[in-house]
Amino acid sequence: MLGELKQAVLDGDSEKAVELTERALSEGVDAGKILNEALVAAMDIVGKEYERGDRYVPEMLISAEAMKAAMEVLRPKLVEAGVKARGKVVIGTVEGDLHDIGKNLVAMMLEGAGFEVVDLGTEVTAEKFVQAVKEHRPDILGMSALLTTTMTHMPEVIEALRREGLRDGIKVMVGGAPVTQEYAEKIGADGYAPDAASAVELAKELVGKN
Amino acid sequence: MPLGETIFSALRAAGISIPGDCGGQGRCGRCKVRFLEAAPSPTPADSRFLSEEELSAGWRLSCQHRVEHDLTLEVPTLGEVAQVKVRSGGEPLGSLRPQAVQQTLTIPPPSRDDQRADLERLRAALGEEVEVPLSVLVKLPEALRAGNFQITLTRVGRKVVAVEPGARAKGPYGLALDIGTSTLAAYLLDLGRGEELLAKALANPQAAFGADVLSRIGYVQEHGQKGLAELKGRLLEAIGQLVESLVGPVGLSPGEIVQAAVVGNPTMIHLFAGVDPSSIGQAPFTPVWKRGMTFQARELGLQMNPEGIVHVLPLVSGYVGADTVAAVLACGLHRAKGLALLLDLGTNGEIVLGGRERMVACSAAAGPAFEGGRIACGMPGVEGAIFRVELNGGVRYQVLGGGEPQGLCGTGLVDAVAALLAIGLIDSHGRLLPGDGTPFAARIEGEGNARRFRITERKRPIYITQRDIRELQLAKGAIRTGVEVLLSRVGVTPEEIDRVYLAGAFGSQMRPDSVVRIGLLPRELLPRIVPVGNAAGIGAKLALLDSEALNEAHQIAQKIDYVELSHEKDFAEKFMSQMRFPESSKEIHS
Repeated sequence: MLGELKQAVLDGDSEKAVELTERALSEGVDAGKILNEALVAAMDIVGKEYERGDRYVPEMLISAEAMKAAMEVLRPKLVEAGVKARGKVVIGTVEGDLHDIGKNLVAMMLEGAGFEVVDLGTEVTAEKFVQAVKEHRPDILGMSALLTTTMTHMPEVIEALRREGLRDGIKVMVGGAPVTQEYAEKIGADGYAPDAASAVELAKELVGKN
Repeated sequence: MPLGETIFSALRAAGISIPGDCGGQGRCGRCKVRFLEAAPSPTPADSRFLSEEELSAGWRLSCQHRVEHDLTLEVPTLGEVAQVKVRSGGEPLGSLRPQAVQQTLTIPPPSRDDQRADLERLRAALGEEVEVPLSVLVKLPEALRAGNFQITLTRVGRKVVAVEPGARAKGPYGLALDIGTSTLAAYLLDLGRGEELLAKALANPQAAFGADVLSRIGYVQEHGQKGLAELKGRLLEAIGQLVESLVGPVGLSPGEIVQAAVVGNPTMIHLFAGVDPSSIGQAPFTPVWKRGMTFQARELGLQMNPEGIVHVLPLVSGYVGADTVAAVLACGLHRAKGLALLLDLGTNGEIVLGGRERMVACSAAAGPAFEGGRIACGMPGVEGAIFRVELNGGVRYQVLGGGEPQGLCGTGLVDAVAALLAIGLIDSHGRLLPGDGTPFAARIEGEGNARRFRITERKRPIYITQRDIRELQLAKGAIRTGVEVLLSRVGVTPEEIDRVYLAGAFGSQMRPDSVVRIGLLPRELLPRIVPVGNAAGIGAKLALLDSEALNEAHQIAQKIDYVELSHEKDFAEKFMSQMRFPESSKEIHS
């Protein structure tokens, strides 16, 4: 049945994914096992297919949505069973930027890789990022900007974290069309990823370093 | 208009902009016009580029037929409003009601019994109040006396911008300016005769600061007033060069230009005026001003008569600018009884849908693919670019300028993807397939994102990669989403649209078949697509030639409802589904 669930996620069939997750749970399959052997396994394939060029953003997104739908069913059981997330990520688009397709995809892919994700949405100010870090104590802070004119808010957030003495406790990852590896280094971020699939790899690497 | 000339050259000579990449040689198929009566029999070139449907409706390539008697033609360049009479006799075309006029007056000289002041004397002769700036007042006594009290005034509205002794037969002259992010287009007009004397284009020197508007805004944000002055300075310098290159060949000086009409996207217009565009760079993307503005040439530092008047056409929003307003004016959307769709495609695609009753507009971020950016063998649409690709029994392509192919421009990319979709080598998800067993298998190599299709088999092959196809999916997905959002905003289906105007250098060079094949526009619109060339430039010219058109531009800007796509509910879902290509019939031609 987990094989079927994995296939439903790969096919982007949300309805079937939800139904199969419910059935697996009712038949007593371990929530952690459903997560890892079906959902995470499927999203791992999706990420690889994207990197190879066999899938593109729309095909990645429909799978991510099916995964997310299944996750809604699974999440309470995961909490109940005390299954620990791989890490916690607070994510948002920076001030002045309301383009969130990329950020949403990264959030879903991270969730599909077993991370707990707190999505702050769009146009998140430095102040709000700082507040969320204080409140949620994440391992990683992720920032996205789609415009050359808004990515300049990224260093402001990093500076605000430093001022509050929060910078050393977390890893900062950045992304978005105008952002580059060089820019990430220049502003003192811990990592940059060009797309959602590599953002997952980066996040895994960053929590490994913690 | 001389008998025996081709209609194409006659229209060009009459100042009517008509597209034609090949310069009237029957090789590009873009110069079509519709004979409203007695269409001549089609030539082979007509049949090659026009569909059966078009031919029977009277469409012909204007370069293929000569002016043999008076004709009534429909010229797509100006849309429905421009059913111009092409006469073999020769007569000015269109309405000519310029704001800039020249008047020669003979004034009674002062005498013992008439001691009125020079200016008073002049005003009395004119019979109306005029505004005379100091620099003109300084020249008045000399001009009056040198011409024995015969004087020629040049006015823009109520303002006297020049005085000269005696009678002057030529002029006044005007400048129409389209400030594009990558290209500046300038047109010199004789406002007395209503003629275009010369047109010139130049690359926007601000390109050195980044290809798109956001990188220019970013530069100002980073460097403040100094950066702003630098960007404005570069632009004015280039416009100065353009002006010199326009007036020189026709024996004029820049000072003889007394009026200008300026269009461009909001960021370019802000930079032209030296106003900080930073607020356009971030949500909520507000410009500093929107309404049409009238400036003095000298306050802008524009190379023309310093007392001359510069009209900057109105903006609609932070991303829909004076260029779009001018394009609407040129295509006559605001007068159309039915519904029309106007697209001006570049890094940002401006889309307007509507007619006389109502208009809505949006701006869609297409990214650089249409301009050949981020494409493996990409290049702008200049000489050496492959701009047509056909896969029919083999690979056939056409190169701008006819020489060796150097790369692939936006229209070439669209054509290539359309052709690959048509034969099923690209699937609806955008995957480039290996093509095993097809006649093109040998041209496809590599795996995954690096898989590519060779268009040319030269030493340095030109190819299209899987990644290029992905870039095009983003671009076309963004534009098509914009179209769909506007359709649902107005509550109409594609079938209800009468005309689709494709404007801009890229848009008007695209083959309509390819446009619908990749799903940039709904297939139902295919027979209604009309390429219109630089519609923004045409609109700027109209605003100079006809003060009524300038007023219309203000009304257009007020009438357009702006739709912010990023606020649109379900934008992401719509965008994602529009990134797909339409299902192909998967027939393999051999």
